[in-house]
Amino acid sequence: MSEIKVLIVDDEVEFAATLAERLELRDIAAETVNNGKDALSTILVRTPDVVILDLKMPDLSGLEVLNGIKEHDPTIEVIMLTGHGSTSSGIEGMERGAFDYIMKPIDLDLLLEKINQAYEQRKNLGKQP
Amino acid sequence: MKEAKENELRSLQLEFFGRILAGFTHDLKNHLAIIKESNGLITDLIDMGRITDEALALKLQRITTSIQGRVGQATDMANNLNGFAHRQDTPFSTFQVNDLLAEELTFLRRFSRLREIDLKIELREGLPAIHNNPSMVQYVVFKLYTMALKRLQNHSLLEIISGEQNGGVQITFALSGDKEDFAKLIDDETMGMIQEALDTLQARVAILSEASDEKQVIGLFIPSLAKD
Repeated sequence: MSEIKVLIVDDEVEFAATLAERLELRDIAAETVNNGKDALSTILVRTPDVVILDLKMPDLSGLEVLNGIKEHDPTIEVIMLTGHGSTSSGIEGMERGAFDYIMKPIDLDLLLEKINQAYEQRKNLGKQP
Repeated sequence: MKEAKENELRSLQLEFFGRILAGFTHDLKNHLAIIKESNGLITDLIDMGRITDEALALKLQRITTSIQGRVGQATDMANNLNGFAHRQDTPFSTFQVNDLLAEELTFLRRFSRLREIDLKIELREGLPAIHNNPSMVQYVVFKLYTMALKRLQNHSLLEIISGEQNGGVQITFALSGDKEDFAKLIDDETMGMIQEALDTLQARVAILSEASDEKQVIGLFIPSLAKD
């Protein structure tokens, strides 16, 4: 198992669970939650290295959750999941501190590349061993 | 006064339609994302040797490849439809005409296919981004495209080419076919329908070919307008 711990935040339960399973098959520890509030409470107990965060969710929006994560620990890297017509929100997320954004449906190879890059960046910031 | 109110109502209806369509395509993409990941998971299990029955693995591989291809096509369509719906969000913006054309022609191709008209598209690289009204540009392109299809007989050729022109963009529609069809290349009905849009875009439509030419060519010139 690699060292990377990922938290997937998406209100689409099946999507989050299947993506987590695919990451686990690649030795990445993946946990899922299905709303913004659970995401913010989860990071208080188990700190992930990278959060994969859906932009559109019914309770807190992805941008609100991003703000909460960065307030708690600015070194946690966040990759936003956006729709094709919402690239401006992805860019706004990056302006607020997200590592990057990726469009849904995702390209898994691209996501893996971004997860690894985000993890390296977090390590370089000195919070991880 | 009455006309202004009608225009306002039409604009509100378009905005409503755009919002419904944007929401619909967003949901559609979520479904596609789940199908794609589930299919990907089966592929992973095959690739990682977790399915030990070789014949079954081969059969599943064929099925997952087919699903992957169809999901890819459906995603492209949903993305283009979503982009199309979001065009209503900002009436005036800076955009690449080639992106607009690629998006719109995804849907328009089927009309030429139904008529068995060969559609060739050449989107030249390096065009300047222009500031104008993108959904209005798509509307004018749609009207000229449908008019061109009406003029052409089955098995003819329609070429749509984008290029730079005086800091703006020119889209040409080249029609090859029976010359009798081109007696009056741009009919009054079409011009009547697009004139208001052309005024808004400060664009113009011109016939760029001679009557004796092999191809009849219509040019749509779209300038880049000053930002507010």
